[in-house]
Amino acid sequence: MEHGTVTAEEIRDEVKRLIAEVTERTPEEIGDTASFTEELGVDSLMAMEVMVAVDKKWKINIPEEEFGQIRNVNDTVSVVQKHLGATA
Amino acid sequence: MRRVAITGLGLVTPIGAGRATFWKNVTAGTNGIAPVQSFDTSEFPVHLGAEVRGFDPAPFIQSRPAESMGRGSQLAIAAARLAVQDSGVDLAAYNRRRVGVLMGTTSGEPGMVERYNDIRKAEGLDAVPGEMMPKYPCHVIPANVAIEFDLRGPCLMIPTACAAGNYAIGYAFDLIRSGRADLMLAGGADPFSRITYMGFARLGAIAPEKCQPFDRNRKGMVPGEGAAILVLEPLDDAQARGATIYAEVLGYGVSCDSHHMTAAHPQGDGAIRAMAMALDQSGRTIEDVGYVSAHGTGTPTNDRVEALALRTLFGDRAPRVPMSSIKSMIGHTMGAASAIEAVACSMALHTGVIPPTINFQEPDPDSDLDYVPNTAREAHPQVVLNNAYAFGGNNSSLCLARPV
Repeated sequence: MEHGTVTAEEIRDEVKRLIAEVTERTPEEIGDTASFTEELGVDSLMAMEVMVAVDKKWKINIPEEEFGQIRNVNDTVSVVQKHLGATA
Repeated sequence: MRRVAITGLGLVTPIGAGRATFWKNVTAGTNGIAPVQSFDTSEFPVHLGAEVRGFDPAPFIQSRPAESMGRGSQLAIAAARLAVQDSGVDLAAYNRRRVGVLMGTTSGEPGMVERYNDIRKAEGLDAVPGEMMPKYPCHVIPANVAIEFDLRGPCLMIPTACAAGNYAIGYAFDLIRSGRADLMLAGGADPFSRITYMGFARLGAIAPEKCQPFDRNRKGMVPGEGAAILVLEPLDDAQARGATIYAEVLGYGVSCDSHHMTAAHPQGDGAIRAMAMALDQSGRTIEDVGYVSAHGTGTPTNDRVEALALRTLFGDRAPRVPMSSIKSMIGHTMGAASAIEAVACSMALHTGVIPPTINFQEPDPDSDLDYVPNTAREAHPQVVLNNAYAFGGNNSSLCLARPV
């Protein structure tokens, strides 16, 4: 994949799809700023599922500590973009 | 002999998945024990378990459909993937013939035995699929990990029950130290199962209300499940690639009580010898040990003998060596237990904090030592012992140190 071609919206859509899958919702129900843990009920196992899926999708390696700081979709998009930039 | 570093920690436990979450929860004294959900326990006199809830293996398993293997293998692959990611190693850069996987377990894939037995009972022998054979034996767990990550070196299961994780890490240490392997994934896995639960319930070993190791009023253990994998590699390789080195493996000791299938030796003979052997191989003494991760199941006998063993080997120093049991929080995860505890030991060395024994209310006058009651402690241990004991009289102690 050419990292330069990945847009924030593509990342956002994929992240919402993944969060929707682990929380058994539809992507439309996942708000950009909805708290993963408090509003969407994401536990550590779901978070790790999303982390490995994100890492695989974009061939990046987000450290656990950094992934643990992520609170919502917007944060996830920024972190993925940062790591894509670092490996581009 | 090469020195051996632990550079990746991956795990799935009843109190969270991934090194960071597990460590946050285990140092916060989080309880992962609750009434069993995965099957009906109404016919048992006890109902507690430590399950990994809501586990969806699919995202972790990329080589084949997750349902093609048992839950033990699924948990193991998830732990292995988290460990490899945590280590930052690029597997593509290795000669795969020199990368292996070594695991421990108590029960292998009991869910598969149960499934095929249920089919046979309900529908008769002809309904049992031919795929049964490669699904349930315990050696399929490391084999499934090896296939997932294309690891072509040593692939072994050491089924020494509840001490098995330490055996696996110890043997992986030998393989790297002696130059037979360049990278090893080592740990343990055990899934929750009806058969394991029934076994411990029939022994009368399961605690009715809570798991309270070393407490005067302790009433038993709580069966649990999980998996942990540690990435082991030569220390100089780890340094060369700028890896985070959580701990160095210094040595290990294993022994057999040769006394009784389920009861520990009354004086803790094998437990003492395993600790002494681990320290001897490590070139360390009891004076160096800053933390002991106890087997600490919460059964009256195990905890009494374990305290006696520490007192016998450590003498006057015993009450000054903190020794805690994280089984108070995650239950007894069987073959995964000592691997999960090895992760906790590595993190204790890495962060300086030691996890507590929760549910500790009343000291036992027979075995009154420092069990790090209820609250984690900043202790900055430099050398730790990870103790694990098992049916069969199997004893194991692993000695880890803060890298210097």
